[in-house]
Amino acid sequence: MTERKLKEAWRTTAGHLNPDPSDVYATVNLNGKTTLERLAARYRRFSIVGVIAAVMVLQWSVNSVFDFMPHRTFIVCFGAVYLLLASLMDHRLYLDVKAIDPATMSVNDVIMRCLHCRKRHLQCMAVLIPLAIVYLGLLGYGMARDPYFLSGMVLGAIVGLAIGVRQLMNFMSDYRSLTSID
Amino acid sequence: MLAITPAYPSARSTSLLRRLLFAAARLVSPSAVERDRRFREIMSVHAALVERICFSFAGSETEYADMRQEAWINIWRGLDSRREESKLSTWIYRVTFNSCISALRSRALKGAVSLDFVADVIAADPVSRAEVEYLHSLIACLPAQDKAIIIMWLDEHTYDEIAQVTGLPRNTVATRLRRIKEKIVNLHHKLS
Repeated sequence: MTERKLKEAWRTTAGHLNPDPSDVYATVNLNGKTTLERLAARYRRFSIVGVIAAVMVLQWSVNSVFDFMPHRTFIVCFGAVYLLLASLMDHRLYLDVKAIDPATMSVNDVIMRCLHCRKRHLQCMAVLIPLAIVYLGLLGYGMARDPYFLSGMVLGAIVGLAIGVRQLMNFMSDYRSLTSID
Repeated sequence: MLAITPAYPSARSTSLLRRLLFAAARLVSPSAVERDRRFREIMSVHAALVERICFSFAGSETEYADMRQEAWINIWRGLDSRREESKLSTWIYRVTFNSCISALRSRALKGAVSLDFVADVIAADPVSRAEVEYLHSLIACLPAQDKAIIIMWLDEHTYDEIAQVTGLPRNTVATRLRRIKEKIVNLHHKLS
């Protein structure tokens, strides 16, 4: 296709895409959230959930219900550190995504930052997933004496895995197409 | 005659009460009124530009509607932060490209585009529509940054303006544009 034909086809396209501005104004919802805002909100939610979960885990150390747990202090501290680490990582990602400004940054800047956030997200998962497995193992060891806790833990792990996988798919769908950007 | 079907904002939009409050605030505050006026002015002059860019990036009607929505939201929100030294049209290009890039969704096959989408958006005679579909399929195969470069080149912008919007050095723009044109020619030979 020659340059001339390309430009002619483009002019044809442009000629047919001439909306009535009042129609456009009527249909635009300026209160809506953009993709980046939704992504940032998701990270922020997870960061807050991480802090709340860490506090809940910490109270196990003083809760008499968990008196039976061997090495309780170590398991509780490990869990709290893990959850706080996850929360910190989510908060960092929230700040990184929030810093992307489509109105002031160049195209290359936005692409590089989006790819950076995606890479960071995957790096965080590479750290947190092994730690999560270790933590689950410690919990299983700690709660082995009580079958009810153990069953609850297994059920929680299954539900958590399902939710986690779904959330991962949601995160990645916001990033996925960026892999084809360059 | 244009056959765009304006897509109503998705279900992710905020509550009715919040929208009413926002609309009321826009009417009451003088700065909000001025901002609204500037926004409508931009829309009246550059609506076609935004449509063109979103159409070129989108692969389906949902994506097209989402991109338009995001582009206008980002233009509205960026009005106050716009650097006055850059031309308005250059700024519109930048915001719209960035909005389209951040709103891109994955596709099962890289570059696959629903041709029904093109037919739904462009109501033209079959010959013109075929031309538009063909151009759209060629551009769809390019990475996002290359799309931005080729679109600005097709709109007859200088290398300096393209460099300003994309954030790439001028020489890089020239080199990439040459490669994009070669790629399009190769794609054209493959498709034909």
